[in-house]
Amino acid sequence: MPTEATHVAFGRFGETAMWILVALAPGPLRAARMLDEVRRLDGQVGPGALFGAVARLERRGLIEPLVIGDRQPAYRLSMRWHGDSADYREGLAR
Amino acid sequence: MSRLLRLYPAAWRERYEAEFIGTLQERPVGPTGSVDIVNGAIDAHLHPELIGGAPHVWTHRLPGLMATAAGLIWSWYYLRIVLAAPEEWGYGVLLAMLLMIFAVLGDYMASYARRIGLAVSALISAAVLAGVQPLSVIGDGMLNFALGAAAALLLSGGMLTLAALRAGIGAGVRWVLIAGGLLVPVTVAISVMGGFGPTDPGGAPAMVVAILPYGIAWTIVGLRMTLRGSMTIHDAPTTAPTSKVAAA
Repeated sequence: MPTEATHVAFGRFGETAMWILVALAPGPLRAARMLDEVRRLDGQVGPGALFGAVARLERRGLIEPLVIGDRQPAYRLSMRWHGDSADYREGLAR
Repeated sequence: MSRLLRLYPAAWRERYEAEFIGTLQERPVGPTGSVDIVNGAIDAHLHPELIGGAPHVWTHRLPGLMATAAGLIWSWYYLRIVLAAPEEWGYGVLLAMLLMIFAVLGDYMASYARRIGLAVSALISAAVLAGVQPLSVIGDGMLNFALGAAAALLLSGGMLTLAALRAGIGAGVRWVLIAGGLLVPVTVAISVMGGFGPTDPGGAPAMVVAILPYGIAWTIVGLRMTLRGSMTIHDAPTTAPTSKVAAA
């Protein structure tokens, strides 16, 4: 896993990233299901924006991929997210 | 649609391409989805730090921007010559040439010998301001013209090659750019259409055929260089770690 990089900015992906975190709260999701959930919460979001947000969340150590066998990875909230969630919720909301 | 994923950087594709393709197969997208994917590719180029690369600083994009500007000015200038009234070689071309030199020098020497780059640039700028036109050294004789043309081809091709190398363009595409942007057009213009001068009979179309592709080639190289961010030789190599976490 890459080193966590807290300097990575969310920029225009901030809102999508926030909805990804909300979508992952009940449990791990693969990218296609995550896209469905984010679209349900946030309207029309494309896969390019989704993966842009996923890359940022992963780089900041807030989500992590979960690979089981040959299947596509599912993503889950990381321990770091559970530890620092209040700070990040506030930061993402700004 | 998945062909658009080739626009993403290699390190990014290594990490996310498989699941991106899987997502596209499960959730196909329309034309707006294509725009979204292209936007994502641009973002991935602008932020290599997302997949473990070194973040770009704005100065790394300067040579690319200069190369792009050079290509656009060059193309615009020659197009204008043909579409509007023919003119002499003017400052538009010299400005484009200056930017090309800055782009290559800035890329290679920004860290190593910034002062050398500045000195060379200052000399060229002074020459331009003094009204010295490099092509005026070419005489009227056929031999002088041939020598001058060969030197100009060598210099132009060399500069484009250097810029393409630093833009990370592979050998195949690089040769296509050199051939399509310079060698073939100039050869065609000389052998089929005749002269280069905009006032010569058939000269204006010959100029477009011969010289415009060079500007287009520089624009392509410049855009690629800008997106990639030109790394100086002192920069640490980027790493592209795979980041899959095996489930416990």
